[in-house]
Amino acid sequence: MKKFALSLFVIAASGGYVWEQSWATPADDLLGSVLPTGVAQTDSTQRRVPSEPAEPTPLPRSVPLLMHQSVESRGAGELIAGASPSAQEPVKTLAEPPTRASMLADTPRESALHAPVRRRAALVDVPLPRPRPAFFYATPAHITRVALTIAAGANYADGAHTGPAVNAYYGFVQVQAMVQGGRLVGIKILKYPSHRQTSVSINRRALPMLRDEVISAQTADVDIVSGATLTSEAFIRSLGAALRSQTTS
Amino acid sequence: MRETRILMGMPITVEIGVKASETIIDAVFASFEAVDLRFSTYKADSEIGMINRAGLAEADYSDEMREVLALAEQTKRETDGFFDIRRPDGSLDPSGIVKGWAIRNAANMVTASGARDFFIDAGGDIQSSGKNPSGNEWSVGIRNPFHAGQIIKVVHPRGRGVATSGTYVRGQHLHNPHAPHRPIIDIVSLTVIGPDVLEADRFATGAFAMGKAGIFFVEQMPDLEGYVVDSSGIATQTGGFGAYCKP
Repeated sequence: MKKFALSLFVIAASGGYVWEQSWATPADDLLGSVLPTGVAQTDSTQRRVPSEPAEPTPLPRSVPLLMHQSVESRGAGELIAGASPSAQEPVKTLAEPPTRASMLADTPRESALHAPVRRRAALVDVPLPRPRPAFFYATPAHITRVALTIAAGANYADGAHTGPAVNAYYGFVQVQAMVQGGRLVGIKILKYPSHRQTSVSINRRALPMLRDEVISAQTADVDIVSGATLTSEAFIRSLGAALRSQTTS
Repeated sequence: MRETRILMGMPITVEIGVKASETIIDAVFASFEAVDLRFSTYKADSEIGMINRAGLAEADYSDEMREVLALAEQTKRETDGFFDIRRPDGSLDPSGIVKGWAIRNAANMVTASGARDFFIDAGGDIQSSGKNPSGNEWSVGIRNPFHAGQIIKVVHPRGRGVATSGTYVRGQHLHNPHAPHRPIIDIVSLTVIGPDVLEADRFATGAFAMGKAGIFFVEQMPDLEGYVVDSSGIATQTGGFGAYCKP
């Protein structure tokens, strides 16, 4: 019963997460203006719920396939709202690093990504998503909060619980719930809807689970220290300083 | 009993809780010495040195070398080429994976000897097991990249491996294989917690080469958590990282 409830939560959280993202406008900064996000600028934990929905351009209920082609080839950075089977590829398990376009030299693979998509011109009516009803935009954060409350109240086995990859229309969403001491302590997004070349800022909006903070000094009373590899010289210097401070105290 | 020696050009610390562990500590350091003799790119007559001088046929590679090279190849696939032991000049440098591999092997040796509470720290990559001498979870502090004496985060890995990649000590020794001559300057430190120190090490190295994108890669890997510090002192943590901050 508990397992069923946890699965339900994970599905609900996936759904709530995706509904929230459905109105997110894609950034067109493919090469990524990777300005460091100051804490004042971005608080990734807060979700922006707009008072007015960002209406997609009103489209007829269905359009010929030809029209859909041009949407597809417009390029990266867009969440393609396509119902044609080939547009709905499951997202790869590994996120492609953003700014990949700027990192890669012009490989044949990369130029293929920018090549116009060629399809057989069939005049088949492909249904496109209708604009969402008004109440839809008011509830996404609420749904997620409810799902988290459900999970927080019940008792689950410690560890990581991975939900199924849920087809969320724009792509797949998969959530992993981390439980410790019978409580939900974290949520990880394993899969989220993204187009092939996702810039850093899209990732930041798509993965609000990643928290930002300004670094600050914590207690130095730890057993072990992890850091970039110290050279032996640096170690000796720091050890020497530590010993000196001990003798003077 | 805790002991630190400088091997492989870095301080290596071994602490084993149970008494009468001098022989096992010696065995651990001996294993690191053997790794150094085989994999040090600073030694002309090491096995990797000979391979890089084209002085060793592939049929003559040792089993350990084959294993490490295979792991490197696998990691390269899994990180979309961002982990690559081939340097821009064409030589092989497996140091981004050898450290974690060596620590993992040493930790297995310690576990096999019967010790349950211990840690091994080689140059900031850590494998711990059991509890510290006070009976609590081992605590690992993440060093402040901008201030050597400070700790910016305390984690309790609970037997999982911890590895930190960074450019703030040895400079630009890490590179992006997709753009080898472009220095990685947007992030300065990336800490990964993984199932063991080998997993943490190889993905910390690979994810660091991705720059700011690396933390999203870590987020999407089910068994990894990460903490990255960018060049302006802002840190980002993955969804499940916070669980390790609780004692």
